[in-house]
Amino acid sequence: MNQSEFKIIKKFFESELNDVHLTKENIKRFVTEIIKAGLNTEENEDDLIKEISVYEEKLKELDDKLYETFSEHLWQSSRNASLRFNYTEIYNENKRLVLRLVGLRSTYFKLCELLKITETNSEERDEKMIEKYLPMKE
Amino acid sequence: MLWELWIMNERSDYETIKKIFALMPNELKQEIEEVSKKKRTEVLEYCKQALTKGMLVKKRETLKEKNELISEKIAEFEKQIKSLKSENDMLLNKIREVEEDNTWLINRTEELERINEVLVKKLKLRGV
Repeated sequence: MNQSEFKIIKKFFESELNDVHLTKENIKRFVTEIIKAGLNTEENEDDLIKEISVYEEKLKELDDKLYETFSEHLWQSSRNASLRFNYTEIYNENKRLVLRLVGLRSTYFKLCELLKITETNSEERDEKMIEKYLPMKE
Repeated sequence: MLWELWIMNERSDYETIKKIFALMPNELKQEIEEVSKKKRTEVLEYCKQALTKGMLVKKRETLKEKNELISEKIAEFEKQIKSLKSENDMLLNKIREVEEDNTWLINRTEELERINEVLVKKLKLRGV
């Protein structure tokens, strides 16, 4: 094969094999592979074409399904990020409210002590909230 | 893909096939020549048929692989969606819980503010 022939063949293959470095060797390999595949099959062209149509049809269905699942995945991911953000926002606000509650309770106990009255406004849920939003390890 | 190009363009000109034939290893050339009884046009025709069939086989392989890859990707996405949905449900429950706490805390702090104001007034009245 001379240089001009190689150029023709290279052009022929290059149009669809952009990512392949087209040397004489890998064109040879590719041609051999195709010819061998053709020689080794006992199926006729019509059967192959029919089978290809089935695969192409399936590919269209799969492409649609892929688009659907990808969109759903994207939606669930963004929803996840948004829910996480909302949760953190409310949790942090509750932390601030619990700090305020601790201060108010302390004032309340002090006032009861000064007025020498029995504390009647201590709720069990106060403790639970303090434990939940201001745990000891913090 | 190359085989699609081949089929679509019906590249039947013997000049291209001759060049492709020239690229084949001797062993393969001999195999084709023997089958087609060494007549030049028959050799080229046989070569053309083998190429076309080879292209079709390759196209089928590529489509099959592509379908398998897309199916795998879909399964992977579906698995992740399932996990995300369950995590989102859990987050929604947690949000409901902290929202409920938030309402209670707002009411409770307001209540304590009011009580403390009353107690401070009482204290002032006692002149402490």
